[in-house]
Amino acid sequence: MNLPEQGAVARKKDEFVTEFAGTESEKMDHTLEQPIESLAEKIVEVRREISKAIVGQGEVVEGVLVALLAGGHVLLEGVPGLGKTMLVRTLAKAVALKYSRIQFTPDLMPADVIGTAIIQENGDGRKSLDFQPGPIFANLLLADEINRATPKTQSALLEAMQENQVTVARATHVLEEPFFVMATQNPLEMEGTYPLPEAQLDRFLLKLRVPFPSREELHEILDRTTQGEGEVVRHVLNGPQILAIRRMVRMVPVAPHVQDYAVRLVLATHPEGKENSLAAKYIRYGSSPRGAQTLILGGKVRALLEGRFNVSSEDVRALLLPALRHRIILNFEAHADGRAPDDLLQEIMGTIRSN
Amino acid sequence: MSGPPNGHPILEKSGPKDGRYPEELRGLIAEATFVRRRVQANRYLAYWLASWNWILGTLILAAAFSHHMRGAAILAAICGAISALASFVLARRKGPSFYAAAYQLDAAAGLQDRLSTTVHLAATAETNWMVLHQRRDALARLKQVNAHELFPLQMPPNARRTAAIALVALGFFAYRIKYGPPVLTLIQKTAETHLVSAVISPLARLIENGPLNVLDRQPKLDVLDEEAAAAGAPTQDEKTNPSPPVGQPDGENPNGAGQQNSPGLSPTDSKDSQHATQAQNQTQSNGNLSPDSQQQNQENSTSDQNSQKGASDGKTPSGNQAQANGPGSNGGQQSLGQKLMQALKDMMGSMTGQDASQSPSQPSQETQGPSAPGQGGQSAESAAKGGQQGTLSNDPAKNAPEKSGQHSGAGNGTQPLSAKQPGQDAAQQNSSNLVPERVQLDASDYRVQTRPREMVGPGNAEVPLTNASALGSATTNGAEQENIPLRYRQYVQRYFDQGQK
Repeated sequence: MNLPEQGAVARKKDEFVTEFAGTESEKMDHTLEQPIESLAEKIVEVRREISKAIVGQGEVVEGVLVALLAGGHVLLEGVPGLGKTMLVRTLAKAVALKYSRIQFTPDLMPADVIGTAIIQENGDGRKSLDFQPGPIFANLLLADEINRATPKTQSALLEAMQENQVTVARATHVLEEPFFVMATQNPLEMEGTYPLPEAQLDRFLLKLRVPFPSREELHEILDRTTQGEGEVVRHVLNGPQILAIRRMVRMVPVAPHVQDYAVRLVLATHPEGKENSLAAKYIRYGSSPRGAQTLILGGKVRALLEGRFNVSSEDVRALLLPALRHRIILNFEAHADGRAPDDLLQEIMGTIRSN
Repeated sequence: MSGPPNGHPILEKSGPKDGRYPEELRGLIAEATFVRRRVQANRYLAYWLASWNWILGTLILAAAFSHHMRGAAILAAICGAISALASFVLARRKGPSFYAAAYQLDAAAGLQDRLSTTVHLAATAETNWMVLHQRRDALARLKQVNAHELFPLQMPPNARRTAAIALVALGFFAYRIKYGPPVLTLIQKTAETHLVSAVISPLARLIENGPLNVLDRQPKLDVLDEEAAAAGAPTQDEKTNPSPPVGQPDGENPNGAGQQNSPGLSPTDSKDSQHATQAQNQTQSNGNLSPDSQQQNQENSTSDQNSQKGASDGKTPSGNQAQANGPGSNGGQQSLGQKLMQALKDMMGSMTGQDASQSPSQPSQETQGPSAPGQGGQSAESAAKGGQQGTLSNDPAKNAPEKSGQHSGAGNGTQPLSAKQPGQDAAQQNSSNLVPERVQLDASDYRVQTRPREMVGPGNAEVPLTNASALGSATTNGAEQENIPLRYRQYVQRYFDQGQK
């Protein structure tokens, strides 16, 4: 017990015992089990609470949880009426976080998002500029229909999403942890939309497509929403617990060949690379290194959600589409041939697998 | 298998520094060791069978060609033993590491990289509570895995091919117990038959008339033209259009036409024509010879004529003709095709048991009597030398009928000469055979024509101001869109369709 590594293990043990078990007198073997089992139970409870309000959409819910526990942000894309906003509101209730919502419109200004300094008069009659924080100062921010605002307003989120802080009038204000942005957008073909810039898109850990519900799910939606009242969603997870899980996620080990698999996948999306000729034909810009980070970090969360303690190649494959579909830019050839990013990524994944 | 392929450097990581894994991983290392040995054994079998493919193939060739089968069998056994040893060393050297073995066990058992991650973490000596969790999870899953079922000792995929080759080799051995090498026997039997000559004669004909010979002949004709022009002799164009014969012969003997049409014909030349006729008669009467040998006889008789001319009348153009047409008359500068053809002729002559230099001479001796014996005994090489000694004649009117008579008698060219053909046609045909590639141009003075030069100077340009507007029809009927590719039109159509939605 006098080795430094074991001391570090003991400190981790105490930290997780404090977060999950609440006691400090348990033995090490028991505390090793405790955080993991608590995590699994908490995640199952969150899923159960979300399923009270959301019918189906299992992959979307899992993707949102992966992004939340990995410390990233998520972009939901789908036509109106599929429950995107409902999902975010339900998640906010289940995790007991401070929640705010911004409805993006074409006349929305950056000050409406991050806040502004206004003149206030104190009791002495003296006036001063006081910063009034905007709706971005929350733990869980819903940017609804983000592509309806102008790029100027969209870029107001850049600093907040990457560095968890905003700067107004040369004053930097740190956002409270955890800070999680869930943005929804309609497909770009809809009228009155502004496509998100590439730098803004790259800030999102995952881009999830919200599919239309199936026939059975649609029946279930009608039964729930047209009869009686909806169920009440309970708080099952709080902010400190989410931060503890985020730290634990980063400890999940990755084998070298799994990491190499993720790297090869990302490199295969680059047209100048020799990995894949498909990218050279249809892709103008490949994925950024954030794509590889997403594959590994999201894979760690997914492994923990499945009760594993190591990242596997299947985790990387499962996250390939939501992690890279918004990080590759297609060229005109791809648009002319009607190729979508998902199709290309599937083909690239098949090519790399056959090595 | 989504990871790197077997043998990837990232899988060949070294183990712990002290070479010892943690004690609790003993079961995992044992399983990985078993997988490693099975992989090595399967690789060993694959390598060894692959080497046996080569050994058996070589043994089959030896059985087909060689008389010494005992030595070949002993050598094959030695090679088999050496290949077994080499395959063992190679399989052991290329054996997977513990990490790679665990990776293969993961993939086979569907353990989602649990074991390989554990082996990697044990090798890096990284320990924290998450690593301990991961190790415990992997060992718990390992108990449910039966590596013996997942990694059986399996035959390599090329085992059937090796078995087939071994059966063929055994069949050859059984055959060789009673018989000799089959391929050698087959070659000997084939060489004794006329099959070889039947196969090679079209090839020889092709080489003789092929483009190689034509290309080889063309520059010589040009040189002849220049020399003849310098000496005042008629050019090749003139030779291709010889003067028509003065008197029309009976038509029974086409060679006689050449004699009658040449007023200044020497006795030697008439003798040549007779000799050529006799040679033709000899080749026609020699029915048991192959067509190729007949052609050879004709060409040899032609060589005899040329050599005779070169010996008797050195100023006749027969020497030039031999340069133009004869294969061995180009002053030692034979082309590759000619050399090959000569080699084929020699080979065929040796196989059929006939001497190429003697076969045309014997019939000519029988038919011609006293005038021919000394000349017919000359070989083709001596004829070529005689052709080289000949020089250009200064009498063009005399040379043309001589050449036509010689070619008609010798049967030079690809078309056989018939007795019913008129003498004039034969003369024209033979004369056209000299330069079949030359075509006279109708307009050859194009270099003399000058291009009229236009003078350009300062002035006033008048631009029509009327009818300067664009045509309305070009923009109304959409004809200019027909040049837009279909895929771009579909793209624009899809873009507007989606905008309307």
